[in-house]
Amino acid sequence: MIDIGWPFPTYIDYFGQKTAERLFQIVIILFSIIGFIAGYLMQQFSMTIYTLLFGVFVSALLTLPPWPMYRNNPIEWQKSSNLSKEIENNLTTKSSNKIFC
Amino acid sequence: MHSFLSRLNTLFAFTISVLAVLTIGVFVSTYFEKYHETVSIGVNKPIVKHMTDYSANRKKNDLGVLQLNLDMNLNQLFDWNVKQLFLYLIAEYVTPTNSLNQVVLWDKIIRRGENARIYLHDIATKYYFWDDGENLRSNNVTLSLAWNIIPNAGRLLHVPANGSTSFIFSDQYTTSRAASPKPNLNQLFDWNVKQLFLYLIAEYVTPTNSLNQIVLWDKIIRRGENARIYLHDIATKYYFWDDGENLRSNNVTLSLAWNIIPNAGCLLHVPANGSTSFIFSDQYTTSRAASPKPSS
Repeated sequence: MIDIGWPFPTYIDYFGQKTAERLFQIVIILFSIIGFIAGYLMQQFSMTIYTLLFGVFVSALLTLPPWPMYRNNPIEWQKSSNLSKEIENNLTTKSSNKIFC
Repeated sequence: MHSFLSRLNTLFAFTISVLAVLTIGVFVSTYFEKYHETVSIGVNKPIVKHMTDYSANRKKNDLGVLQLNLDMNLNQLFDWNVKQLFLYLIAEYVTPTNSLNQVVLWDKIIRRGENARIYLHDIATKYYFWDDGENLRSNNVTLSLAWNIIPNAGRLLHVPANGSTSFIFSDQYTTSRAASPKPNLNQLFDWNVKQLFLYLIAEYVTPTNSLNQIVLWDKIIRRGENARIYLHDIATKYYFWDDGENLRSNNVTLSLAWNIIPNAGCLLHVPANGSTSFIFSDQYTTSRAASPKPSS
């Protein structure tokens, strides 16, 4: 999987992803409707395409960089327990049981 | 959507889907458009020649030669779903061997943005009018124009234009010499014409005079003399003096006329069909540059 190694993290949390997706869908559809009407009035299909591409540019600006508004619901991880110590204890008790078998 | 590239991927895929919907929308918006237009087609001087068709079999076939006049304005046809028009002019006729013959005589591609007003007068056909056989003489031929609409999205439409014309070829072959008859005054000499006095005048307008007429050349042709005149690059018989200094950049018309001197009757003055105009240069020419003699 190709990935760009940005020097800063580009993740956004789950609620942010949902917001971002809804946002760019609405922006692009809005610009496409405007472009369709503009192209029909001017009888130039190129006008429709240019309007749509401008809409894509605007929505890319809004959703591609990891803005702070997409990081308002960070994932809440559980507290980390002393897991390594418990494993060690289990292993030593098991090994001592084994000798007697 | 967790990383930059996955967001870019989703955005791009959605854009392509929206583009597809827009293109379908363009197609639907022009589905019922008919693209009809009226054109005017004219034909001048249709003749038939009997020549060897070197591009086909080596037999002698009929070749139709005609001049076309085309007048049409197709700018209305270019709506937002039309990318270019392909026009073609076909000649249709019936022969004993084929129930329908169609020959393309002229075609043109008009792209979006180009000027779609066409006015062509007396042009030769773009393609040869070969008949597959010898059946063009006295044949009733119909010329009709049609076009293909090449769309941005949708069906390739074929639309016949409103306006076609018919003509009938002559019933005699034309040999190549008689095809373009040079002007010949021998026909003018009937039994009442004793001689002709021809003269060529140059007419032009100056600020001082509303009309100036100068005779540049004349000729007397008596009855019995050869009245075919072919002169090439001759000097004018009389000097073209202007009464003043108003010849530079002046638009001059040369026209020929003749007097018919009859045996009995009125002295007729007849202007000929066929005149030409030219414009003098706006600079004087010095005598050394005027007549370059070949250097030995």
